[in-house]
Amino acid sequence: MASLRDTRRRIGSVKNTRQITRAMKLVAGAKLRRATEAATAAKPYQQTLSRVLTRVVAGAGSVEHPLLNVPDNETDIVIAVLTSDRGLCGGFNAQLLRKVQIDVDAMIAEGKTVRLLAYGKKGNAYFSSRGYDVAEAHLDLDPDDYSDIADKLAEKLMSEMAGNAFEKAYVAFNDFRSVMVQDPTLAQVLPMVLDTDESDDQGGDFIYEPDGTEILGRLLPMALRTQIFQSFLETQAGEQAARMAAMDNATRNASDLIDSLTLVYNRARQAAITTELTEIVSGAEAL
Amino acid sequence: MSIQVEIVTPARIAHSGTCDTAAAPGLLGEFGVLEQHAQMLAVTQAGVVTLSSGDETTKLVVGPGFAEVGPDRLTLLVDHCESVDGIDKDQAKADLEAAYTELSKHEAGSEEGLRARKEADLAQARLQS
Repeated sequence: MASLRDTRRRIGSVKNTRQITRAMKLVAGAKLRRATEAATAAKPYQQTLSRVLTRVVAGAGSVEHPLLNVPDNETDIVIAVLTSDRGLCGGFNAQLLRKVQIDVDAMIAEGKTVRLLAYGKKGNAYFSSRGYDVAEAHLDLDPDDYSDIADKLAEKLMSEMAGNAFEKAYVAFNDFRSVMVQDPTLAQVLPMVLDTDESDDQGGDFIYEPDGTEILGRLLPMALRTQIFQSFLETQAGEQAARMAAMDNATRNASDLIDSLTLVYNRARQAAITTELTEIVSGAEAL
Repeated sequence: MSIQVEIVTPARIAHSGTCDTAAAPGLLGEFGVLEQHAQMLAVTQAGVVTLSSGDETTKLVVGPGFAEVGPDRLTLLVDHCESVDGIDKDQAKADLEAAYTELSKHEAGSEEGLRARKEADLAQARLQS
C-alpha cells in the first residue's frame, strides 16, 4: 500500500493536471466562440451564392461547364484531409481519420490511386506513418489564413482538373453540427455536384448580364472556393468544441480522482493514528 | 421609395442598409438601380459602389463579384469591400504601380499574373473613389 507521503504527492500532481485541463477548457471555449462567429459570418455569402447558383442553373436548363464534367481520368482520386494541428481534443481527429482510411482502402481496392493532401499535423502523421501517399502536407495553419489557404487549394484543384489529373476530388472534414456533435464528412468537391432539386420559387424572367453561361463560369469557381473555405471553418469550430468537451471531461475525472485519493489518504492517516495509539496503550499496560 | 442594399463578402456582411438609388460597376459598364428594377443577375468588376438617399451619398470600394437585383433590393456578392473613408490615395497609387510592375513580370493567365491583375484593379478602384 502506498505510503501517506506518496498519496499526498499524487493528490498534488492530479491537482496540477486538473488546473491545466481547466485552463485548456477555458481557452478552447474562447476560441470556439471566435470560430463559430467566423462560421456564422460566412453563412450569408454562402447562402446567397447557392441561391443565385440554383437560379442560374434552373434558368439555363442544360448546364455545360468544365468544372461539372467528369475528367478524362478513371484512376486518380485526390482527397484533402482537414484535421487539427494539436491533439487533446478527444476523438475529433481519430473519428475522421478512421472514416477516411476506410474510404481510401475501399477506393484502393477498386483499383484507384489515391493522393492525399494533409491540412493539419494529425492527418499527416496518421497517413504517413501508415504508408499512404501523402502528396502534400500543410502544417501549423493559422485560422486567419484559412481564406487564402482555401483559395489556393481551390485553384490547385481546378488547374489539376483542367489537366485531367484526377477523376474526383474530395474534402474530408468534420462537419460542425453543434458543440456536442461533429460529423466526419467526405464531400466531393470536383467535379461539382449541383443541387437542382430546389424549385425556383422566385419565378419570373431574369436579365443576365453578360449571359447565363458567362455568369455560371464565374459562379462555379466562387462556389467551390466558398465550399472549401467553409470546410476549414467547420474544422476549426469542431476542433475547439471537441477540445472543450474533452477538457471538461478530463477536469471532472481529475476531480473524481482527487476525491477518491483524499479518501484513501484520510483512511491511511487514521490507520496510522490508531496504530500509534494502540502501541502507546499497550506500552503503558506493559509497565 | 427605397431599396434594400446588402454587400456580402466571404468573411461577413460588409454593408446593410437602404437607399433610394444605387450604382454598381458591372462588367459591361456601370449600372444604376432604382426601385422596381427588373430582376437581374450581373457580373460586377472591381470598382466603386455609390448609394444615395436624398442628399446623402455613401461610397464603397468593392472587389469583383456578382449583383443580384430584385424589385426592392440589391445584393452584391463580392470578395472584398471597404469604405472610401479609410483609403489612402498615395498608398493606392503606390499599390497600383507595384501591381503593374508585378503584372509585367508574369505571363498573362498565370496564377501570379491573375493575382497582380486583381490587385491592380482594386488599386485602380481605390484611386477612382
